[in-house]
Amino acid sequence: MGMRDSFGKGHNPSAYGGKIGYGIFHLLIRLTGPVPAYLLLAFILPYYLLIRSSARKSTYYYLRHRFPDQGRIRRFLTSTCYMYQFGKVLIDQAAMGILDKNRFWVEFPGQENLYSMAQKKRGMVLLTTHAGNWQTAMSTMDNLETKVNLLFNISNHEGRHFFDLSGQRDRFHFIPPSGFLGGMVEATNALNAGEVVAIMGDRAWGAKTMEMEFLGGNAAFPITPYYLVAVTGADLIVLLTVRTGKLSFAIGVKYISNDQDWTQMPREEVVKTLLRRYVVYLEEYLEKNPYMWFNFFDFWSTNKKEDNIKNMEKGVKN
Amino acid sequence: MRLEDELKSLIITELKLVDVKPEDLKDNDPLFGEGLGLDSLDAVELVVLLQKHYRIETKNLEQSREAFSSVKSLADYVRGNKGKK
Repeated sequence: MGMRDSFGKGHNPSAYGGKIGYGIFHLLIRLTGPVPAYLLLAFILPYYLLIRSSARKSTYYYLRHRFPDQGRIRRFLTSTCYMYQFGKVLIDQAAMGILDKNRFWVEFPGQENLYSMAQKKRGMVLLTTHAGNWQTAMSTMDNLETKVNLLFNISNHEGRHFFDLSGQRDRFHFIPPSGFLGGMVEATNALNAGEVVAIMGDRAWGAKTMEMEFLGGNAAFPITPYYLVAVTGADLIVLLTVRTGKLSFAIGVKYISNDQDWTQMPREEVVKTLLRRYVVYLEEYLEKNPYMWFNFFDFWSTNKKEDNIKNMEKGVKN
Repeated sequence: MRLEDELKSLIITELKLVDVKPEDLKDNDPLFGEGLGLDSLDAVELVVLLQKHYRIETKNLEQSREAFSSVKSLADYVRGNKGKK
């Protein structure tokens, strides 16, 4: 299965099993559909829970914040549910690339409104997150007439895997965050031309971050999406998906900034306001869907370390 | 006023650079990293600055890379592209 980049430098439950395990799951999905793959997942899960315990422990970073009062046994059980949910999402994700699109059910109540907003050509920052299945949200951009750019490193595992399998690589224009000035020239041009720029709200990729209280602890979030909105006056929309059943997802839309012009306000104030709105929505989402957070590393310390310390010292310009 | 000096003033004003005066900036000093020390978010401001004040777009990445290297190269870029839109 492929969400290796959801895990930073920590342990990655999906990385276990290697190419053979990956191939077996793919074959099973192709030949028999997702249900036997779910069963196989249930069968092998105890091995990762009891013997390869590093996978289980990698879930604890988040669970300690989401369920701070749980004891050891309860946390073990919660971790089991969490890992199983994650495995099913990965199976569905792989199935999206392998099986016929008609076999999937995607409920997207705000779709028409989102599309008509994009038609206004004000520029739109679409914020996604490693929660639920962000690739599902991206797959619904098929019907959008506006050009969709992804500030995303296509060479990494999760992106390459999904976009190649689903044949959607050509649908998007990829802006590598590791490119010229972090892809900011391209992203700004795209927004000014009224296009859509999709960005992961939980990945700094070396860019500046701002700390915000998230699930009871201070976590550092990238500020790029909010800064782009502050300077260009584009709209800011969050899309979060939830797995609702077998090959079935619901997409929630949250309008963080809609038809608002922030360009004359101090940048730091705008960034703080918009980031807070995103984090509040994320917490509400995780309150309802506790097993849909797929960052299996210490999110509360990762972005604060390494290069970002230097970046944060410079602060956000007013 | 020389275009280079006009750009220096605009950069300082629009990017809200504190403790920097136009005369502190040399025409050939790098804008990003060493030199003025701008970063990727400042690039967002620069792109908008060029559009707002000179109606110039920076869609050609190779040209942008060259243009954003110093005040002088930015001025050359403005001279070469002004009125093209």
